Amino acid sequence: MQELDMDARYIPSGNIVAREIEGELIIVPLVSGIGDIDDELFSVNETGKVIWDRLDGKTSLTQVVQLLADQYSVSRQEMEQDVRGFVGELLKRKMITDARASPASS
Amino acid sequence: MPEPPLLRHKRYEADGVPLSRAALLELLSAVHEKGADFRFRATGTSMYPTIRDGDIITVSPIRGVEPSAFDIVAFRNPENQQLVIHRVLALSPDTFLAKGDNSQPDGTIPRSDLLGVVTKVERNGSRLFWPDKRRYPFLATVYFPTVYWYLMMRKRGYGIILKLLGKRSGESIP
Repeated sequence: MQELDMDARYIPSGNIVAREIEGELIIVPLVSGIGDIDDELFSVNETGKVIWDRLDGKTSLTQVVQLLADQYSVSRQEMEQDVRGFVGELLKRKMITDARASPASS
Repeated sequence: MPEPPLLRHKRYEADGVPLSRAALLELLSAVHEKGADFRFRATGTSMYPTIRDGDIITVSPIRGVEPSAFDIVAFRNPENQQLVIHRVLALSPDTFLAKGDNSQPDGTIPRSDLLGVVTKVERNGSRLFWPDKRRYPFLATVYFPTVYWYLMMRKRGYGIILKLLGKRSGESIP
């Protein structure tokens, strides 16, 4: 898995559509000007959505881990492992970008 | 301890129809807001045989494409707020009439509920002949009415024409 900078702040990529629909967070990547839900439709579970909501370009991953560890009363180490896995997957699929590298967020 | 965060790839084969028509409508609008086309799997038989259950269709934003009669469009059904893909039969500046090729007329729909134009249809992995109105406006203007009238003739017209021919033949016989 790619190494994550836990001090980085991430934001949703401009090349996705993310909507909470019928209680579920749905993400559709836009590839070559097409939102293709037949091949590329993703859903995020409730815990994932809590993390997603904090990828606002202002909160570092370290802060996200701390917030969630407090919220769910779990160890910081355990939460960091979960956040790393989830954020790594989002990065792999280019659904989020480093806010420092993306001044023009959408 | 909460459930671990998970990003799940939803697939039609594994999940069946993964979204309701209302959800499809919301996603289509969100994708079109970004200026992108929306590609999804059609369900139902109201446009049979032009579009079949399971065909993959692409709907392009209405921006830059002026719909005309016989185009196949996506619109919001004003009665139930669901996504519908049907054929335009007539347009006025404020409203349009639509109908599925295999269903009853939808009635008068406000132009503001028009969402996009179907620009591509795929069946069993192959792309159907379907002139994209943005690239081939003349071909599309000729093709879609021709297909529609052919379908209507096949559905109803043959019987009437044969009856008329039969009656005339009968009359000519002394």
